[in-house]
Amino acid sequence: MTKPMPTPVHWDRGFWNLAAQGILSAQRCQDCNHLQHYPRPACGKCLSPSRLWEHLSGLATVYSFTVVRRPFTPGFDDQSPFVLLDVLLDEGLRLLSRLKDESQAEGLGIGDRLRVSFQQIENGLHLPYFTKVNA
Amino acid sequence: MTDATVTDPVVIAGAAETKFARNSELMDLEFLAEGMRLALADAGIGKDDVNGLVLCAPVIPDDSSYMAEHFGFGANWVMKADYGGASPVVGMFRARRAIEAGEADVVVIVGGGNRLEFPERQHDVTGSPLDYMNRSWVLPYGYGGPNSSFGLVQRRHMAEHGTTIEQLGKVSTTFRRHAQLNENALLRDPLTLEDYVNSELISDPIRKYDCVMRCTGAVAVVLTRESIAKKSGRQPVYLGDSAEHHGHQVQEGSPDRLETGFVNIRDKLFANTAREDLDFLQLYDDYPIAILLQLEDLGFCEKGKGGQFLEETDFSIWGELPINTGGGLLSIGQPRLGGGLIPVVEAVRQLRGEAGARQLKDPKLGFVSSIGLIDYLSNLVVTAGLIVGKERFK
Ligand SMILES: [Zn+2]
Repeated sequence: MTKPMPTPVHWDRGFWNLAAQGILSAQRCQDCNHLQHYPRPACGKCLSPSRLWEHLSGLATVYSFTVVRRPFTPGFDDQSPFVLLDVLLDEGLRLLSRLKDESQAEGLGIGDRLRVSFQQIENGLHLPYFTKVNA
Repeated sequence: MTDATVTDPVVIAGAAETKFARNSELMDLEFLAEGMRLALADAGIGKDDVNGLVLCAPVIPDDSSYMAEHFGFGANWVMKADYGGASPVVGMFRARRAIEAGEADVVVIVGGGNRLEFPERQHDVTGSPLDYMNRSWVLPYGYGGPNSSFGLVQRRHMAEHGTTIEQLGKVSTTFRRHAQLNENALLRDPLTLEDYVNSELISDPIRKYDCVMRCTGAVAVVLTRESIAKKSGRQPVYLGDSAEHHGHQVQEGSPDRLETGFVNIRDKLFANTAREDLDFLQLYDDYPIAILLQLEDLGFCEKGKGGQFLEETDFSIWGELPINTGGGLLSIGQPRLGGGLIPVVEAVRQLRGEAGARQLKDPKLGFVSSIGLIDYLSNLVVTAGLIVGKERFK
């Protein structure tokens, strides 16, 4: 069964374009300076449509994680169990992701340091994953 | 508000659950019809006296009026509620105001159906904001559903506040003891703490007996004015303060995983009712960690001390603060959006003295909560609460 894949829309295309270049980014509002992820049709603070795609460091820590043993998303049955990450980026944003290398799941803990690492999926988009790095 | 709000307040006239089951051949709409029929019978009110409906079923465009027509209601006021698990309770709030405003006199609120199968969630290509969020930012990672969301929340709470598996397990085992006294609960086998701790890991640290079980069925309540309710000879249940909140910390780049929208409404909820005066709590419980967060954010204990509170409090029907006296959704089952009304039905039974073997001693005041949807890396999208009483509120 095919895995679900993101469908780029008008307001998130910048994210996917930069992801293809290996750059993690987030929407920065040009009117009130609010930084947000996931991408929204407008600024969540002031509703301004004016945004820039700010390049992020890609450095982060583990905020929380869970081991998915019964995935309900189609196409993931053969991968279970795997770690689902709640990631806190150094810039103060959080995002949902996974370890790029599942062998790093062993001994994983809250507060561990991470670095973004993209992986291309079937529809050509580059999805951000994370790699555990030494502090 | 009109004078009639005081002289003839809106009350719960009837409440009922269909038989719950894991599997059924009935369609969603057949369940909804049965739930409404039973609630009206409980209220002692005829179908033709109904002129308002709150339907909690998956939203399809232009559906509300057709649904009313489908069920044979000539209605003055109809709405569909789409607030996740909180749909029917928030729907009750809407119905109450509609009756007060004179837009309707008798409103039936119903939710339920057959079991939702997950692949069908992605049927809509253009999609709602929820579909968009899931499709592009959640599902590509193989998200494990609410089990995973609550797994992330629970691990963080355990790490930050030292909450233990045993403290949370007490929720499941206590509710199971209540369910053993509730014939409509689907899970009635004894459950020990050892069973709980050793149960299968689903999305660590969430294990099998943390997870609500989906089932088929429907639940409905009837709201009307006191004067109409009293004609049937049934004891009305009165509505006290209520409040709801949608979207908590939505502007935060890194929202607090552990704080829910109840912090925004607790002062309003308990402005005229002291927590100590409540005889029971009926809290929406899809997971024990959800019970813990509600107790903290509703102000029954300090933030972070929920685990300790659960450990030190006897919240069984024999204890000082009975919670989920019918077994909660955790032991009863979750019949789609009808699940949101299970706490309401149990509150009605307790206040009327109809709870049988699990009846509390003459309860007069209770609290009902409702929660719906879980947001991208924060917490509950919808939180709602309601004070209910045996006597009219001032
Ligand atoms: Zn802005």
